[in-house]
Amino acid sequence: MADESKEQIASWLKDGLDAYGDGNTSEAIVSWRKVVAADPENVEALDFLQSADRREFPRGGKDDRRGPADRADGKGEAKGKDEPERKDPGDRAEFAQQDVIGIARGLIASGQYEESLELLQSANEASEFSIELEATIELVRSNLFATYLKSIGDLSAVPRLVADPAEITKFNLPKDAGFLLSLVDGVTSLANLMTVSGMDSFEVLRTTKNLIDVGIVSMQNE
Amino acid sequence: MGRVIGIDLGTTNSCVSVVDNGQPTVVPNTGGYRTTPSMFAISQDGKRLVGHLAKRQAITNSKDTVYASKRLIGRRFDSTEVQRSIDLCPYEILRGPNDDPRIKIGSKTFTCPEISGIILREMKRVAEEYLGEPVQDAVITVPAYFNDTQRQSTKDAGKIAGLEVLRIINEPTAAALAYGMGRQNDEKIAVYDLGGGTFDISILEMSDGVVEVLATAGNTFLGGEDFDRRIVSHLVDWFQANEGIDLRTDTMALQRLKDAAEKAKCDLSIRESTEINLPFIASDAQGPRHLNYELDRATLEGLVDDIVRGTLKSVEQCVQDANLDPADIDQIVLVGGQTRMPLVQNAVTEYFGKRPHKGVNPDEVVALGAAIQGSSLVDEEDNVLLLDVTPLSLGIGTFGGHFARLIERNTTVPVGKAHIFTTTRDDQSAVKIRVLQGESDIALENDLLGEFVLSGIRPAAKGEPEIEVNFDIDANGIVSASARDLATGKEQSITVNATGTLSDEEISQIIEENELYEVELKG
Repeated sequence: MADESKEQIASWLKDGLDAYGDGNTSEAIVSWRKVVAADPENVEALDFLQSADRREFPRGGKDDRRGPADRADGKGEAKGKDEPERKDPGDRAEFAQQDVIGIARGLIASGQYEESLELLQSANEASEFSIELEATIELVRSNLFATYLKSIGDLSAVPRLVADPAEITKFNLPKDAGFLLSLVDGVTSLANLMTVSGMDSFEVLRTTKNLIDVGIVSMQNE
Repeated sequence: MGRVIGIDLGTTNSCVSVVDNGQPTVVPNTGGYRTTPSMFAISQDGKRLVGHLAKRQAITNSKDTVYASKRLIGRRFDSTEVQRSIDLCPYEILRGPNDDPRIKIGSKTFTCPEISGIILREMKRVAEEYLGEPVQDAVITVPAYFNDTQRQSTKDAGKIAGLEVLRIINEPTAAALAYGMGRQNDEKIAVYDLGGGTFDISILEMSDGVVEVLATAGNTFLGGEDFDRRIVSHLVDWFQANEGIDLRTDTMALQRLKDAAEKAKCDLSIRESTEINLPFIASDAQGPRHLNYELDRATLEGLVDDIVRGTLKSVEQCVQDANLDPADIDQIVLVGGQTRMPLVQNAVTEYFGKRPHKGVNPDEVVALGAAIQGSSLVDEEDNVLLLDVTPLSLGIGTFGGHFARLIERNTTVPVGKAHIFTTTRDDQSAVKIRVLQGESDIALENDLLGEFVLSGIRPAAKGEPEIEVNFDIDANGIVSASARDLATGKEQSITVNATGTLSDEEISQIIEENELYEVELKG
């Protein structure tokens, strides 16, 4: 599969997830069906479609299919007393988390750690604490940490500013990166930057990697 | 005996120096800095930091970063200075078992001598690295107004750091010594010391190697950091007015602003304007925001003029206390990095009617003086005679809550004075004596140094036993006492319940604990 297709598929998967997170299951299904159309063997999309199906038809299949009253936004017709209980928002969040984790694992399997982490972190911010979600995030972070470290060198390496200071504002950096950059003095090692910045070690490494990639800093091994 | 190092253990920065080939020299640390922030921290990842690294994370990790612990050392928990520090400092200050202030950072509670000991250990390490040999002996400076407990606690800090403290000397005395003053002529000297966190003014009289502190005044909560805060506040206001973003609650932004303010302030001591560029200081829906601001000297002076004028009130008070006029002062010595500011120099010149003495780095002059004194203590050819005076009167609490002076302030140290005690009841076996230091006639208004219990007094009618107690103040300004029964000549046992200082057992325990924790990051 071409890289562009991979990106497109990742985008559809994410669009679907966003829609699903908003309770717009039909829209989510449309996105994931696009994925399956492009890649019939896509495990994540298939898995997610199953989850969406469970949300749409929670009691034993399509015969039990309910109307718009069961949409996540809660709008629609009132149901009768024999109709199934609606799932509360917590349950929906659990469903969504499971789906996200499934997609994230798929991304991990295809080596897309960055995308996986972004997805998981978005889900983590939007939902309640889930040990499985946290564990998956940690798994991705530890993989990325090792990858970044391999690329940068070791933690005793010293980042140095190589870009023209006057040109730095042309980049579009987040303020955390700006803060980290302000601590880069050509003397302080990466390990010490992790300590003095007070930032999460992983974020320091990730930000440094990004700063290297865009040509703002370079590393010098001591 | 190896070489003796001189350490200026400052409220904000510390400096170490040594006499090398006859010349006092400041020892730079591994980062090349000639002074080291007197800061200690436990970082968010659990590492112990000292010096510059501790400073660089001081705002983002404020709760677990200790600074200005010198304001607390040797003081009682209920003292004004400790209570004010509790209000101002982000770190936690607790009441210790000896009624002393203790500092909790991370999960551990530290005594103040322990914190100072960590700073001193770092200065020792810096010196050892520079000299390439172990260092054991040191002269440490303290403010002239430090009482016995504060001096003893500083000495304890030295012990915790693995140093043999040969002498504790007054900071203004060390400064005057580094300027080479008083060796030939009798001079009256004003030492204007505006450091990072404190302001001290001292009037000294130097004559035949005797340095007398005629008067001292100041503010333990005023220093260069107040200047930095004014600049930061100015920048925050400007940024909010221009970009609509309030940076006051953003610790990362504040850390950057504080560092930039300090740098800009230093720049403006040598040039008329400076650029402050802090890219990506904030961001919002429109994207990243940068702070670009040109600060000029006139604006800075407008921001801090009242602070500088405020120091002159203390100067005036000090000159009056010394029963002198400004014109009587022969030399003015500037100490502390903040005195590089032209506004400060001009204000001092205006007040005294003469320009301050030039030639020595104000950040380093105290440490250099300490090294000179240290060298003279071990080098017989170096005949610097330096005799300080006790800054406070020593006495005892008497019936009715009065304070009876035994040794008057400004007495040259070392000095000893005997006092005869007797019993007030028949067969009284013990007498309790409260030893105080201060200038008030009311005992309670002075600093309680300790309670001396004379025990095992032989049975006799009241008033018959005569017990002579000798109070001694050594060259460090530290008080000790001994007693004997005049009739029998027998040494009397004395138990000193010093307030606020650590026992030998506590010091040993701290040393053992600290050996387990090597400071991980230095600089």
